Amino acid sequence: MKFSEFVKPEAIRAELAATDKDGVIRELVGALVESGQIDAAEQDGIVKAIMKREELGSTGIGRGIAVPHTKHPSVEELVGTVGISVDGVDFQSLDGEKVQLFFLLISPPDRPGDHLRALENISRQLRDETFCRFLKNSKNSGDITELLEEADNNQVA
Amino acid sequence: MKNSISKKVTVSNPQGIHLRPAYLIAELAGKYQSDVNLETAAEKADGKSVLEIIGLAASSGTELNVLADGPDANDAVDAIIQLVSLGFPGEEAAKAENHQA
Repeated sequence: MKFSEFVKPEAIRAELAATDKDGVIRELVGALVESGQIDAAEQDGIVKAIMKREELGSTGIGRGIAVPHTKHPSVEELVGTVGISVDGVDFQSLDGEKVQLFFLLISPPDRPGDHLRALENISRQLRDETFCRFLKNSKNSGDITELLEEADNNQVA
Repeated sequence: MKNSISKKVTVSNPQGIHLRPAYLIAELAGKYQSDVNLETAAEKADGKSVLEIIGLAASSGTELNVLADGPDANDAVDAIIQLVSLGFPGEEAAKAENHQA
């Protein structure tokens, strides 16, 4: 599943202001509200659901990457966004490293396949060192959007 | 000592291998000295890397080939086969609780 299918440029945050886990999740969910992808009335419930998922085990998968996510009945299709923290945030990651790259996903409860395909795409791109480096060095959401488009266009599958 | 082994297992949990099951596999594989790899028809992943395992996008019903190479290869493959074939015990229950609201 290509980035363009679930990430809207308006929801991308190149310089996250938050400095802790809870704050980053709030900021990214807030970005999805501002981009019109989720209903403002659902914001608190979604943040809570994502934090609850984090309690099962951090979605910080190492190498400065985290994929906070939840299922939520208020979305009809998978929505997501990308955030970057210049200084990194403590996310209780598997490798103990701070997280700089965030991919936040909210999926409809009945579409596990879409969630897997989004994870597959994130995994494929993030295994590319160049993509990771460029992403970490992106200065604004325009840079990130361009990089995601490039990644989408290079896909063989 | 060279000891390579591989066995197949079908992903049985309804959600497939999303992040949490990938984490459970990597955590288990990490307990063994052997190199562990997972293969689907299309992709191959280091069994100790969450990032690579989620790249398999292994949905329910996908056949996985579990390969290990090293002194404890047999035990590593058997443990992972058991985890996957039992549908990641505890995981679905934890999720049900998580989504009760």
